[in-house]
Amino acid sequence: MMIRTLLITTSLLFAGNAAATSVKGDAANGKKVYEASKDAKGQPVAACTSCHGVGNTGKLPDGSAAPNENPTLAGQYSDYLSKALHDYKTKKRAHLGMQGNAGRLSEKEIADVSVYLGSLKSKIHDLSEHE
Amino acid sequence: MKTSLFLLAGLFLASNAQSAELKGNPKAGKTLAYTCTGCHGISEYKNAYPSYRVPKIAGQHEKYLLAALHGYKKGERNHPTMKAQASSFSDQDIADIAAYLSGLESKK
Repeated sequence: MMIRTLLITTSLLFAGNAAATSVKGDAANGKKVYEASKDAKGQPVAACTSCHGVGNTGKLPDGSAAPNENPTLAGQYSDYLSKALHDYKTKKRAHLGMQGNAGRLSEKEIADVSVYLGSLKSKIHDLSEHE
Repeated sequence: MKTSLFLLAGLFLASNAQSAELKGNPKAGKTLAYTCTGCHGISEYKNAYPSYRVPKIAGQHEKYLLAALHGYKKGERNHPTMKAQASSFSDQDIADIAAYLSGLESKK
């Protein structure tokens, strides 16, 4: 009896862990995160849009073209975006600005912003269309 | 003497600027990019361990693609397959690939 309870508890624990590592993203909240980021004190910081453009427009908030050096994120696979953000957050990937930006995001915010961007249509696409 | 020094310096700067901004040839890039299709040419194709879909690179910004490929080549970015691929390319190859990929338009 004791062993069985233990086994059930353990499997529940594993199930809970698996759910935590793949937080389900919410696109509506991701849009908010993408457009208006805040630091730990709740102060507004430069939003993702100020380098990567508003939604899938390819334009910065002031209407100018998003810099060519910065990747188009709209339309990218959400799990790749999540992976990239985690790599910045853990400093596996180099880029001072992005390490700071991703470092401020919670697991839930990373999931949300990744799902939001992945839900947009843009000019980036798979090479499978060109074979 | 001074003049020739200036001339030399000028030539040096000019040649440096040229190598920093190689002009990419999309036609040559298309041939080179054949190898990319092994992973980036399969819709929803997944990288294993960790598992995530490999990024869409067609239609991506040219200068970002250049930065990414040079990042892999220099070892600043860590994906083993991408490091191997990028190190096998010359700077001109990378410029050609970035020019080809960034110029692609989705047919969908």
